[in-house]
Amino acid sequence: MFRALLAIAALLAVVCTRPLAAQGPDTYVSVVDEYRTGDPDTAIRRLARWPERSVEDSIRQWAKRLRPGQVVAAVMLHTELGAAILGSLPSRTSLQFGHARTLLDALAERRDERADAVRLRWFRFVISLYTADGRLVDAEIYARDALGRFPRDPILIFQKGAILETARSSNSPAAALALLRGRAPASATRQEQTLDSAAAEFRRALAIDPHMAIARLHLGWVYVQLQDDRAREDLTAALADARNDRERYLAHLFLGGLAERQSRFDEAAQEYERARQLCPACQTPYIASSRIEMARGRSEQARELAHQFAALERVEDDPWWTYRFGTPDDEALTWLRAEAHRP
Amino acid sequence: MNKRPCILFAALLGLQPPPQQQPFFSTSVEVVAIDVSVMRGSQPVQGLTSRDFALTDNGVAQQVESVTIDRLPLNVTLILDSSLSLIGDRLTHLVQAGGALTSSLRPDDRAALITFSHHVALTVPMTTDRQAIRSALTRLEASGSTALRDAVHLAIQLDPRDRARSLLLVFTDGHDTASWLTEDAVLDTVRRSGAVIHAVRVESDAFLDRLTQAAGGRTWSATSNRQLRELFTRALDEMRARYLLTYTPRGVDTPGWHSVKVSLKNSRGEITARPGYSR
Repeated sequence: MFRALLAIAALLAVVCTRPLAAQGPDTYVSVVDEYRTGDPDTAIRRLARWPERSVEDSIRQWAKRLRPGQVVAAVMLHTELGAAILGSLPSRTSLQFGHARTLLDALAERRDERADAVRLRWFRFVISLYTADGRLVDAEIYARDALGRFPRDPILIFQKGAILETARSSNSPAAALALLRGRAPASATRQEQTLDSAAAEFRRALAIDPHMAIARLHLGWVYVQLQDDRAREDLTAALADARNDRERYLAHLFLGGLAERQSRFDEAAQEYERARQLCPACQTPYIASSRIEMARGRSEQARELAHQFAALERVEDDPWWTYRFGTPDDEALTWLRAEAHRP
Repeated sequence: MNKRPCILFAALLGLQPPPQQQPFFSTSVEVVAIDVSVMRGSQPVQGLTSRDFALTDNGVAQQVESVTIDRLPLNVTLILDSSLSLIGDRLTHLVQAGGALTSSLRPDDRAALITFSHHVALTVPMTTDRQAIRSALTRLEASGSTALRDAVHLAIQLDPRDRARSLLLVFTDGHDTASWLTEDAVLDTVRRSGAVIHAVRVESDAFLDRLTQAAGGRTWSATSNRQLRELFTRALDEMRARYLLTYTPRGVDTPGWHSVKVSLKNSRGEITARPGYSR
């Protein structure tokens, strides 16, 4: 999904600067309907050509007059355009997401039964998108807003933790925001405080949904970095609750990382091997296994693994990377699209 | 004076068979080779002999048995950042710098190219084919994040460890954002290898400083993209001006970390070398 968004981003970045005729309130509904029942990509491209003023006029005129199904489609039309241009025109992304929020408010004012469900998924998607793009301050702002409306949603709480965890490794201002919340002891380093704040959010999410494997994985890995004894228990639970091979792969990788840090090298080697079996073309288990063979004093095996890795075909979806950088919430996007295209 | 000793195991020089199945922190070292840079200001100090060097291993004075300079061929591994931040002018200058370094190699030198974003790739294995390196450089594309530590580990593991001296030249314009390996893990790998690691950087990075110090190398900071070419060539020149000291450790049989200190007896100069080795 994300790659598809990126693929059209370059095109949109160009066409955004070329306004054409037939733009504004008179044609807005036709673009929305094109998105809803016709070709969504065509609708997104059409809207991308509109000057901001025309979009604002259209929203002002139509937000309260569109039928509920059209409003949901309009929300997603603006959201998908915003997502597509995030890499090249982030300020215009903010505008598009602002339009989507205006439309969400309009939907809520009508007391439409879908309003809350749509808004919740929309927040999840936008927060995940900003996080994956490294725009952690934007992600944090949306997370705060979302949690004000849905304070007990475990996924939103998890996302807030993930923002903090990501901020820890990127020296983001969001890390500083975390410090203001001050859950950690004053003696902890800034990085530890950020991780402590992240762990607190993951624990909150798990208190609501104890079998949320991805939150358990993140909590366990944060504990590994904090050298907290609870790491093993959480990572083992994450493995038991894993819903797919990506989560199982990460659980084995992290259990290996924990064992390595505790100098249990044989156990670490076994866990890395299990991760490698789950994703034979992924880079990370080879690097990890090669390193652990060095630590075990088996330098020839370390070199052999490095040579095996060098011969691998390049793959793009090592789950370690999506863990590290985050990934747009495909589940939320799929749900929103389905809702937007519903007859 | 900066005293940072460095070692190469004798096995790497073909003086004994490579050790197999070594236990952790235990390596059978018969002869230790130390790659040493001696500079006075910005100029290498030339004409030194074994009588000019004093060396201690874990505080015990050792007899320097031989000193060679600029005789052994080099295995140069270029470890180049190809992450998204290089896009544009910087990538162009990086390609030119790599090409210039390749052109400065001597006929019996070899070179390899490892590139990294979040992906790490052995783009060109160790070869005497200069054109293969240059062609690969021209195909470089900037994208993705930065897995510097993973790339360094891979480069050390793929180093041939033959009779040539190994130089790993790292270039990065940012900080690690994607590696699996920790800094300590990579530094441990570095201490077990004999390779000299030089680095050319754009931004200050504490890990690069620790890396080059552990490997007895140097770090240069580029103030502009145009300077990359000059710094790459300088790194190669610095390697050629180094002395390779060898000694047989005596009175220091304990396994584990061996701190090595090198100093000059009859001359002035700043010494850069690896701080020790794992045995």
